[in-house]
Amino acid sequence: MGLNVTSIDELDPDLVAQTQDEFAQLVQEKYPEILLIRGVYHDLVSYFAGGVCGGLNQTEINRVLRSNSLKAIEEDPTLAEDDIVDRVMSNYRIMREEGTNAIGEITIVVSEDEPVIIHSGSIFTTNGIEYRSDDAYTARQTDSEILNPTDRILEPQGDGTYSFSIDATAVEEGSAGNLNRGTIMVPSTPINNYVTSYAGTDFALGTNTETNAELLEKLQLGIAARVMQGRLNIKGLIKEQEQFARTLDYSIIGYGNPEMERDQHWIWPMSGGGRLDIYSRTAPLPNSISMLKTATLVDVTGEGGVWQFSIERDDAPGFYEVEQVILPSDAPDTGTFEITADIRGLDIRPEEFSPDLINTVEGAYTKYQTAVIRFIDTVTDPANLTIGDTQEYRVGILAMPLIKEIQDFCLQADTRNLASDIAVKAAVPCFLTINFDIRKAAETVDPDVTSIKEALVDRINHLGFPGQLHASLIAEVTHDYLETRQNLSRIDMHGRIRRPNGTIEIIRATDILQIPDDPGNLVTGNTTEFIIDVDNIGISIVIEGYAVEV
Amino acid sequence: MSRTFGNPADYSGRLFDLLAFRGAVPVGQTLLDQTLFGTDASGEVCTGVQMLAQRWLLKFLTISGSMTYLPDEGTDFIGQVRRGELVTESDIEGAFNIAAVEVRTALLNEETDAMNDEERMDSAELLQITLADDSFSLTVEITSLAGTSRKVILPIPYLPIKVGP
Repeated sequence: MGLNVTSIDELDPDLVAQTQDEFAQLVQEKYPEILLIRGVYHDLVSYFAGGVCGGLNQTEINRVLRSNSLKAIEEDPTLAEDDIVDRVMSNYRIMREEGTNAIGEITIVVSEDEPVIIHSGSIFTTNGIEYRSDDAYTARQTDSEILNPTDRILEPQGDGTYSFSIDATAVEEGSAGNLNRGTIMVPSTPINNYVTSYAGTDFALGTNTETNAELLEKLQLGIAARVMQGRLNIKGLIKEQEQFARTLDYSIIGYGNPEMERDQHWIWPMSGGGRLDIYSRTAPLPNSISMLKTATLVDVTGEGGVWQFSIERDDAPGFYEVEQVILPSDAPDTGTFEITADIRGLDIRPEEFSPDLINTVEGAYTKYQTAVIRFIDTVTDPANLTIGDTQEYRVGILAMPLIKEIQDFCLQADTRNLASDIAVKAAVPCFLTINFDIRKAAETVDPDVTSIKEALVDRINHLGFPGQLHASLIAEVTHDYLETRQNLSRIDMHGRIRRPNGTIEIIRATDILQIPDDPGNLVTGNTTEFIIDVDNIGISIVIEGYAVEV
Repeated sequence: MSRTFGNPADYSGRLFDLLAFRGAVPVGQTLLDQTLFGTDASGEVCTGVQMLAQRWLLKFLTISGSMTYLPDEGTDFIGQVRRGELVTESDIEGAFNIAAVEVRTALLNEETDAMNDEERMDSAELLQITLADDSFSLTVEITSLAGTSRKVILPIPYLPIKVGP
């Protein structure tokens, strides 16, 4: 809806009647001899000049009035006009972020070791969403044939097929373009020797244009001075940077907070201040970063060889966990070899100014974190291998984006508070699973489960640091998609918290899922966030309970 | 006994409206011109029983629902004509009577005691129906509370009037 009325049909009939009456009243005062009830003057002059034109003008005035002040915008952000809201917000240094297109890689598998050309702008589709190749790509057989940055090597998959990856971008802007790694993407034009194609990496960074309600949330940050000082100041400073403008939320832990342990690194275990921990929710979902890793055989068991690889601090800064280890030739939706050990470490380099981190718990989910991962390969026969042999594996690592970049920004000499150091961490994850039934009467239409799941994911992943998740919130979101004689069963909420020390805590509830108040393990409502993907929501539609007329 | 017109001296200080059905004469039959102004004049006003007749005609001839923000305006009479539901004199008379009751009720509801009796509704009587191939006409006598009356002839085509080439 724009500021201008574009059709007379948009007018509110009550408003038209009111403006016609007001117009007639004014005319009556000036010209008492004119007949104001039914007649030519009433039906033609006052109806059009007073009622319709007056209603049109008043409608536009009302649109301005409900958009041109913070008070009016806060009363109902959905009614405010974007253009005027933008002007108001600019007074507070708040700019509306435009939507962005999701970007990622598409892996294409072919059956022959022969050159393949992918034209620029080639379209790949999944779930009705289109992605366009960023450039023209040529897959070639050998390194010596590589001529251009957009040339790719055909990598043997070990099963007689070959693969290569291209960069692609969602055609339409918005978060709907974000995809999980491994999602099948179908080309719209034929590809030579084509076998399959899928998202080789997560498609990420697709965002919607900010709504007025989101702009209001940023308002406090806009007013706050951009300095590394108070919570609002720090959030405002970070989100003012273009690179971090679309990050979601931060929880700042400092002196006096029970979660702050780094300021007790003295002889006496008492807080001395001078430390800041910034728990960061930079995106609705962590990225799944895919990479090839060379693993070393370190042991042989009855189930298979035990292999080990390292994750360096720049591989996936601030990562949560390794979610998948497979052979390079495996399809991306293959399960994972069992991970038997996840040993975290720290890589703090003396030549850099770094936060004071003295153990892996303090360094968990920071850019300084490293890890050694062990897993059992139940496919490769270790009989002919010896300890120390190496082999490549494809590894999927779950990580919040931009942790390294935010850490580097916060420690810049011009940015940081000179009286403190700052550790930027990904928020402690509470991976959610939600299950419930929609109980409906037989005659009602099945609700749109896909839309319900997407709405739930959007709402929960944008909660910030709430400390608890209410079943009533899930019911509220879901009911927007239900009709009468459709309701919810008990809502089962299941959370898996990966503590910074690597242990797992399970929480479960059907009414309020509460984050434990466990500052000793750095798990509290101020450090921990709920994370949920559509794949982790189970909704069953059952015809049950409602009375049936017979 | 009703009179067909009042004394001009009586109209001083009365309410008036713009004249939409021009060409009316105090006595006798004449075809009205539905315009606010023409080549002969830049517009006229009306008052008294002429204004009452105009109010009656506007309500009677407006197709119900055709004014977007005045959904209660009009009657269904012209709508019935357009839909081809009025074929015989009996059809027309029946529809007229229903619409005339609606019009009278609406006019009475909006009138006030402050209005002159010559501007207030008393009755509308269908005097004559004339059928032709592509139209029919109604002769209606509208009488005010003061007893003055106006006869109007309404030529009503079965199809909407086409304007332009």
